[in-house]
Amino acid sequence: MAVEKMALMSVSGPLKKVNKTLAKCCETKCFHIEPNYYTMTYGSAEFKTLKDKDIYGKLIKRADVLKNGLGIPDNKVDYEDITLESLHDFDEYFSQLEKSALPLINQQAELKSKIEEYEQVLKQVVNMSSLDADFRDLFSCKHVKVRFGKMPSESYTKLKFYGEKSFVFVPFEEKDGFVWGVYFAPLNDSVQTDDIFTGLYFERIRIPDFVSGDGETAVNELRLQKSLFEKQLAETNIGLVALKQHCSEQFTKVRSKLIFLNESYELRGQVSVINNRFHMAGFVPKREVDAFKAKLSEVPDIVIEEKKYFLDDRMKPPTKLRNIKLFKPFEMFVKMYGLPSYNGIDPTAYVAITFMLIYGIMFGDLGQGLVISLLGIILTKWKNVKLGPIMTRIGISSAFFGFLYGSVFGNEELIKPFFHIEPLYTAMGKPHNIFGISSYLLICALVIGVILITISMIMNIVISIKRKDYESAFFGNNGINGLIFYLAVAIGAALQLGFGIPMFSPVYIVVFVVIPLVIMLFKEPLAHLIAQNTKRNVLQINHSHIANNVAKHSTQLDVNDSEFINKNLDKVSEMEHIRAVYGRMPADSFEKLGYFDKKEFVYIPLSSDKDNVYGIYFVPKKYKVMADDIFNDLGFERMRMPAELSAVRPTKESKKKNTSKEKKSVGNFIIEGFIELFETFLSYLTNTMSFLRVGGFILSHAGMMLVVNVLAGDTLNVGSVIVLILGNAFVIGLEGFIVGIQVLRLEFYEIFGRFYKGDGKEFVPMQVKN
Amino acid sequence: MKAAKAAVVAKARAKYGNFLTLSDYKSLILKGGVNEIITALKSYPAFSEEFSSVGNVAVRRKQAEEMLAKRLFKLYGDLLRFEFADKNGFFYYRVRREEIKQIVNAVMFLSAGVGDMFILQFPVFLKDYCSFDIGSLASVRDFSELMLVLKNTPYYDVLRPLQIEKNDIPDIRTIENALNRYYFDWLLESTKKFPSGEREELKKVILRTCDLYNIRLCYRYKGILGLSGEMVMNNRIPHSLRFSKLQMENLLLKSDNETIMKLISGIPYFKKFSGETQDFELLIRKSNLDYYAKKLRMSQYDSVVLHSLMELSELENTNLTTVIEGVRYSLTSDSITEMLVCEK
Repeated sequence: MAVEKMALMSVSGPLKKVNKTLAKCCETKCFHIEPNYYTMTYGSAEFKTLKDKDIYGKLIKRADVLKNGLGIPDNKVDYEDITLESLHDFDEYFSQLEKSALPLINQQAELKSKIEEYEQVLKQVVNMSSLDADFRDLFSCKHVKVRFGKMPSESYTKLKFYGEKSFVFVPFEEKDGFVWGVYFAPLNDSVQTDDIFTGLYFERIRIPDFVSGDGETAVNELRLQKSLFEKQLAETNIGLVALKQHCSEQFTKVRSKLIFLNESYELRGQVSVINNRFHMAGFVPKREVDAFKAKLSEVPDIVIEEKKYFLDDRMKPPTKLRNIKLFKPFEMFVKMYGLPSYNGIDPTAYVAITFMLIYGIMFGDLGQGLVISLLGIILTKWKNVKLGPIMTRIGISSAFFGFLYGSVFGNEELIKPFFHIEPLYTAMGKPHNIFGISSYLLICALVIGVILITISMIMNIVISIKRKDYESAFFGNNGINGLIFYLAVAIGAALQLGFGIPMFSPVYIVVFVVIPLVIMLFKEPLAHLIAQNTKRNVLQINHSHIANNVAKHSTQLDVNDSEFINKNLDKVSEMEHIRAVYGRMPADSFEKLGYFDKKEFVYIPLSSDKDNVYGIYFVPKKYKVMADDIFNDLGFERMRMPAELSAVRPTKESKKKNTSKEKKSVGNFIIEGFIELFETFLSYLTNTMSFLRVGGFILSHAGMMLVVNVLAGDTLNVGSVIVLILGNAFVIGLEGFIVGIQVLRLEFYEIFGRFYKGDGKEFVPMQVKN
Repeated sequence: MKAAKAAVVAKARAKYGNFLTLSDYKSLILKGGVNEIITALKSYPAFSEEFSSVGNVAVRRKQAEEMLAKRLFKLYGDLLRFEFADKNGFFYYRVRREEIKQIVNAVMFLSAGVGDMFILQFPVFLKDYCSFDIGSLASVRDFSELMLVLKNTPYYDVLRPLQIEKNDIPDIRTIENALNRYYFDWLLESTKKFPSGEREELKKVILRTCDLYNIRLCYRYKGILGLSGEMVMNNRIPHSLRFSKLQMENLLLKSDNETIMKLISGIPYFKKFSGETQDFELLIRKSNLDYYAKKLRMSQYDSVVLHSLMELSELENTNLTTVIEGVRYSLTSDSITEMLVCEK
């Protein structure tokens, strides 16, 4: 019932192993890669992103040609038994297959294109079958231009106005608003004639030179030739089918493997490279780390290590929810609103419990509840609908409350309802049916509302304190102050109105109503005041935090170094207004540092290689010039602070925002404050009243079923059974659906809105596209 | 209202409901060429029949525009059925208008010495409706031959006084204005056959058209061609609804090439739209859309409703021509959209 804990895993190794490693990472299905980890931590100057050529592209194209040519379906299958690994292996396999398949495929394509061409020509020439001259004779005219084609019938009527012109148009036939024909023009006038016919929208059709004979002969000849090609195509197809049967299974497996390799190869863009070694980092759920390591250890020569990391804006681990089976389906609603952040609270359990509870109360019917549950099981099992498991659970809840209400498919006489049990029955004034306790139901609904709102406010207080958002935790509408006010008014009103106990004495009003309201009004300056006091500490805390993390982070320090660090850490905690600078210096210079032990700075080494020592120096701001000079002389080279060491620093925008807030005038502040106060007060009231719907729906359900029963009548016959079935189906469909929406609304608006921020990042395991 | 007239009114309003909307035009603007536009138009019931014969071959812009014009005339014929029989009746006005347009075109080609061009340009579908043999206009080689073609038509009497010498062609503007003056006179005369209420409403519609004609005359002659005010006054239509001779004189006297558009924007017909555009033709189209859409919805008379529908159809055709030309000449979609005039 929480957010899955994540481990930051780094995987590195020789560049030639990157493909295999990526493929294995995909197979683990638990590796969420952080593509920018290395470039962000060590700078893009050091690490480069791996960008490669498309090495599998050509092979995939060849495979596609074979697949299409042989008519093999585009399936992806298991390829465990395929031993082909390298590009050369695949190339050899395809070359072998191409030797037998390509001649047939090419022949097929050629024949198809010829048949298509002949079909097209036939379509045109058929319209010219009344031509009584040989096409070849016409094509061979040297002094006369011959143009075949068609023109709109309207244009044809205009031709008679060109009687004086030197061209001749011979129509063949009129069809679909066009006149088919040919025009002849003397060579000298051909340009002018072409212009006229263009103006008349004549569409020229080019007849290929293989057409010969008069119109009718040409058509017959073309048909004969086409059927010859079709025969040849049929023979070629038989050859291809035989080949397909022979190689289809093996080919599909090889192609599937090739596609997987290509897609995992594309993931290389997320890998960082330096000195011919690849590095990648990503998050793995802690409980799957061992399995992840075991799977990856199948790739030789790679190093898998777990890294320490610290949460800040740059390093945001993904969120993977982990809940027990009963609550798991309700993760859908949480995801719909937005995932919690990694260090946030997973509200799934809370949502699941309240959803089932409220739904059951609002739609309580033993029979209908079980039907919904059954529907849920069916939808889950056969249709795999995500809502199915939720329906199963809320159906059971509905059945349970239906049992309490004594309602079975709207019949309230089969089971004794809870309000007919003594001493409740007498205490409630001996109600005949559920309508007799309507006022109690509405009051109970309000009480449920107050309880849920109170729980939500408490959750907000806990989360805000955890986030160090003291304004929200102490002075906010949903903070301690708001909670005191809300409970004081709710409890006071309940006791005074319900039991006649006078609660709103002047002291009670001043302490629990006026003071909280005044605090609410001045929450901004109060929060600002606290922020000012903690600001100095924050600076120190941040750098102490860095210093503390340094010791944890380093894995290369021996015992003596640790003692040295601890001594120096004490020194850092005594400093005020300090700055921390990360970088590296030559190993010789590091030894010289011992001579500066009386100076006002502290140096903490982090790690080292054979030439350099990497570390941080801390110095109070007033001595920074001195410290910078010394470190410059020692050959200290500044570097970007690694993400796991740095703390959150305010951005320029947030600084500006804070400044603008400070500049708010007194008048504005008071007006805004009062408006906000009014709005807050109103929201407490409306949010609580919103829960009245819980009681309302109990009554509406009883009312709807009463109508169904009245329509069905008192005597049981076929008609009444049909009415009962249809009526129940209608109520389950309509009311069951509406209640679901209403409960979701209560969850999202009245409950989530008080404490929850869906600002998490989803855990997406690395995988190939398909 | 008689059942047949009520049916025409209902049918006309239903037809207007099927007009292209702005989103339709926008999707047409995104097409790659004239052919794609025509193919897309085929999917609209109002255009599918007319464009069904167009295959996959390249359609020319001019051809597409001719098809649109033909569709419009067919729509009119479908709505009227037997009304064309009365060649002096009001409903014959579209034929008259087309006849005048074709006569002017023929004279224009004739005076330019390219009489053959008329053959390519004239719409063949008109020959079944025209009061003269429109095809013969294509064969005329001088003005006297043209007069012979028009011998037994009212246009002959209109043009005869303009004939100077046997073969000389009178000024094209004079011919156009004389024919238009005759057209508007005839149109007003034809309304007399209608009952009083319908007659008055129809008359107002026609007089408004006269006003717009005169305003356009001012704009073209004075604003574009730089002709004298006297010339405009001589050629104007002597009928008016809200734009009197005095107002016209006022406009002509006060305006020059640069200020005329500003003065026109202040005329009551255009005041509502003057903030939207300074393009004269667009201003007229916007004003027409506003006026005729109201008439189509509000009028009880089939003659007015039918006339309004045809004017709105013309606007739709203009929009489509704008889209076709805009796409053909690669204008940006925004600039094409700005030139469109439609309600929804």
